[in-house]
Amino acid sequence: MTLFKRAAMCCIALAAWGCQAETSTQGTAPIGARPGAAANSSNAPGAAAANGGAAQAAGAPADCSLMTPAPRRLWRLTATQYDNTLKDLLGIDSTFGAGFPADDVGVGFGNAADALLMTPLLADKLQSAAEDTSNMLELARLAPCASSAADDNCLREVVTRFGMRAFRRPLEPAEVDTYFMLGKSAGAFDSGARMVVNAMLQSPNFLYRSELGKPSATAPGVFELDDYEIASELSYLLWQSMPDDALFQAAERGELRELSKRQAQVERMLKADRARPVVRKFVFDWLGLSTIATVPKDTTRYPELTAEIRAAMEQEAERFVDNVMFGADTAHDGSIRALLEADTTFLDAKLASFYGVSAAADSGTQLAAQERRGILTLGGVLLTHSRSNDSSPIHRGKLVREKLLCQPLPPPPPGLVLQPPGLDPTKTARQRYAAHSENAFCGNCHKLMDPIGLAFEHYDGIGRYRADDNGLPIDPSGEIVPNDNQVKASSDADGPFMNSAQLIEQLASSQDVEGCYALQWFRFAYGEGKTERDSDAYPSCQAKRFQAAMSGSAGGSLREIVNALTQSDWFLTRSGSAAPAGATQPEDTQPKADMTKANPPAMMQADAGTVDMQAPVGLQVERTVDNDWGMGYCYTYQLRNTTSAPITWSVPLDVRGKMNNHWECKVTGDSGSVVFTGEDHNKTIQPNGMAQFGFCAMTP
Amino acid sequence: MGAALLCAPFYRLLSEPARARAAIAPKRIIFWFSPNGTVHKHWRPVAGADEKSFSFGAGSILEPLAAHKESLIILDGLDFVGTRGGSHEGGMEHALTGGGGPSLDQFMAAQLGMATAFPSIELGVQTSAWGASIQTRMSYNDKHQFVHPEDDPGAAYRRLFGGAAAPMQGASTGPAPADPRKSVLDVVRGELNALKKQLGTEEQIKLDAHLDSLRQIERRTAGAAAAGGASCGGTQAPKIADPKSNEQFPEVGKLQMDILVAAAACDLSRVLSLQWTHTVSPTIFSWAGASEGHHELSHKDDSNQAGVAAFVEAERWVSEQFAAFLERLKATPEADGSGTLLDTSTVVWVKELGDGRLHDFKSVPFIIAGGGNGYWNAGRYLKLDQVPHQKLLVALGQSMGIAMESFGVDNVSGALGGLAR
Repeated sequence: MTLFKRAAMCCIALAAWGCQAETSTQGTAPIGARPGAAANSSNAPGAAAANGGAAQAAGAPADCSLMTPAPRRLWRLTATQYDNTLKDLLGIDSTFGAGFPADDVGVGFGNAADALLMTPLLADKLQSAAEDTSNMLELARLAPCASSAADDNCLREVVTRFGMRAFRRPLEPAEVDTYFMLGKSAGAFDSGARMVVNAMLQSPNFLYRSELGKPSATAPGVFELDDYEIASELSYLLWQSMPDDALFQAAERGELRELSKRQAQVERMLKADRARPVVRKFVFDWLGLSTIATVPKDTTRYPELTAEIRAAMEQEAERFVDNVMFGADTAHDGSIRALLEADTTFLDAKLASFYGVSAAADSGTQLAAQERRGILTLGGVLLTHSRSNDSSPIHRGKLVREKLLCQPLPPPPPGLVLQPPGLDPTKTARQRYAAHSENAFCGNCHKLMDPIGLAFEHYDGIGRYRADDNGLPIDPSGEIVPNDNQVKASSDADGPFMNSAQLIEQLASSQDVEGCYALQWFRFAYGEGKTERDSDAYPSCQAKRFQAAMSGSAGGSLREIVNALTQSDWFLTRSGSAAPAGATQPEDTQPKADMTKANPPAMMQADAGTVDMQAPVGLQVERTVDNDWGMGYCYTYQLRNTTSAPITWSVPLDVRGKMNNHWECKVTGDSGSVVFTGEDHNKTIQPNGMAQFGFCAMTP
Repeated sequence: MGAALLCAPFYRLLSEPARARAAIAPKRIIFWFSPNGTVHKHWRPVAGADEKSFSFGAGSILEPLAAHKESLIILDGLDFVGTRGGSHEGGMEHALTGGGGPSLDQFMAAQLGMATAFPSIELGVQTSAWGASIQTRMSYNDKHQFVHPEDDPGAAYRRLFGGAAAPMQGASTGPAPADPRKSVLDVVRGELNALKKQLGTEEQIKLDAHLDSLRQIERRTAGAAAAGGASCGGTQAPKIADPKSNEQFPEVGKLQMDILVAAAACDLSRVLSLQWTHTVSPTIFSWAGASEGHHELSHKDDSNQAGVAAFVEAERWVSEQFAAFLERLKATPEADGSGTLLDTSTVVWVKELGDGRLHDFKSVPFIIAGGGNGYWNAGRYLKLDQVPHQKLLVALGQSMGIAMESFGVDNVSGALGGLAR
């Protein structure tokens, strides 16, 4: 069984707990999505939480044979992206974003497209930022003419030139007119140009990245992203900022839909310095390292942990990541193995003395193999996965279970006395945490965490290596036990180990871990993980597919992962139900209404069996109810060509509720009258041949 | 503007007795949140012969509130029912929503907010280090989307009292526009509306959230309810080096309380809140003698006397802040001379769990404070028997003149009685 199937199944049990584990003390990665968000049939966070995740999971097909692109969407810039973009757009060192309200943490990356909403507080801050920026601006930056001929023509040039870069696409003529008139209304050129900038920085065309695309000429329900949209996809994935001139030019030449040209851009962009902070941010968000500087610690117990040491640990983590992710050889290729097994770190003299090792110069410090190995033994990781005055087998085990195995844990059930073992100088952590495994209630979950986390007992609560635990010997052996908590889920990393080095080797050799790492990248890249299609416990078909591809022979280096992400058809298309091109009114969805007339809802009244519907003559349609649990259902349709000529099929159905998944078909919508057509491989049925497709839907 | 005028639009909705009460409705309501439940035996007052004759035990969590005893209604026995999830985050999400869509503060703001510059004001103290999630947010709008608190006192001050402190660089020549901000908003709104039309049913949630947000700016821009301005904010804009650092927690809290009092005095909003950190908070209350995170302390069982004592000390510190806040409200007069802010306001101390050690929702501690313009029958310790806390939410809504019989879930109806005079 693949990991993905297991993850989907996991949610059946976990959804009742919200598919999330409590972050029971400080410093660990924060809890992600709200309960139920995994199954929301609306993208309002929590709006449909009452429907429960269980229903969705129960209805989830065990595998996906079809890739469904993300819906057409507007993807709001994150705070980081906002600051980076202002810097590239206007050359100002923007720190506005740092003051924005924290975004929905989602599954950890804080960039889930569905969760990035405007709020009144943010709108206020964006207004202030736009006003401040436009006031401080050097106008010559916008257009050369501003310093020589500050007239109407120049104002128009400001609108066109700045607008193109702010909106990341050429402006429509009507847009140029609107902004020109706005600028004119200010009176003088100077104030007019500033007003244009101010307005553009508050425009949805600036604040949201467009992934709307244009309707495909051939595939109904499919929208093809244009070159400028693809340029932004690339730049925000690899740089967390707007496209540079070279990307804009490639977009203008219409090259970015071409695989080889796109790949050349990816190679170029990955080499650029500004890819580095982005990859760092990915690792920090994924492993919960962004609180190295702030995670509260007991200053009486750990007086050595000064702000200076924290800063040095943060820098160590950054340099460690840089070194492992961007190198040429396989030990530095950004694969999960490279991260887990790296043997070099970067210490300044103070941090070296804090760790009690001798530091080499800038070239990096070789880790003593018996003491440390790879990112899991990095001071910053251990510091943030500890309690305020102690190590924590729970948090360290939970990190491995959730972030490396992609097996989310449920929070503890209510009503248990949940006191973690206190400090006791006469006992080791293993002895103190033993109660967790002795108590059946606790042990059922804690056996998934503690026996992994105990491997790291050689590191104290602030990440220092220790040979013994207060004079008592440390036993770092343990086991990754199969996750049979409520559901069965084993992984190829399961098994006993003698110490952290063996644990790390076990993880580094695991294809499941490799797939989990790819899944994390997928979510980071596509802003998934907070939607009805994809969540921590219930990865989307696309996520699963990507995960599967990357845990196989495709390789797992950063370069390979990024190439796979950007080579996918998914990078170029979106799905949607909106009106065709040129339509501007909702009424233009008229064809759907016509279909309703032609296909009365009664046709869905029949139970499983042959369904008489308005399908091409000679096409026999049979429906199987895969599942129907009251709040949703899954149907599979089998088609048979009873004629002597090939049939390219098209089946109109009235979909009760809202479809959240479908396979081996393309669709024109997600509820009501929907026309199902085949994928390339099954759209044409030979005489006497068969094809099948299916979908799941949630009912209100 | 007095309370009577504020409530006028709702008169027709109210029954006769409710109308009579509305005449003495609280002018504003302030929600105050602190996390990680309690230890009841150290929280409960000592009951006396009747509801009014209670006292605070020496060393108990609420003892610092003794000076304000006559302004308090201490509610013991409100249970959370109908939580969507369990554990900490289930309680956090439930505390003000009662299990439903909007939180009570936002529900009120939607109905009462038109009278003031800001429909509601949310301030926080270190609520966001873990990002936004149901673990860190208590306020939700009518679509159950997060309403984020402002954690930075400097930014809060600028937003509330900065007014037009950063005007558009003006037109020095030629005809000046009447209001550049409005012109800019018009363009932006036009684009959003065009997108809405273009997109049909897709992404409407995002576009609507954006349009709703702009509407609030537009109301202020229109000048109908101008923000306070410097004269109202009083003191200088607060400066604090790092509002996210653990050591600055008390200072951030103090500044946020100052801002909240000033915002109330300037009548910038009738619905305000101050959220001290969040459930599962890792804050180490070192200034109160703690060496472990607040959440860790909240899990000390009774056999661990030192651990429980440290938690009680931390909670007493929060009580001291609550007392200081009430004191400040008491020291600040209403501009119209109708009394002090404490006389006219309702302050509600909200928690998200009952016994923190158990993660349970039984007897979640709530305290109503303030005169509420004479609305509340205060100075009482009420021992309730497993009353769904939605009834309190309804009672609070009714106190503000909103006609409502249920909140959050459908299967609990009616208000908690006996609170008003």
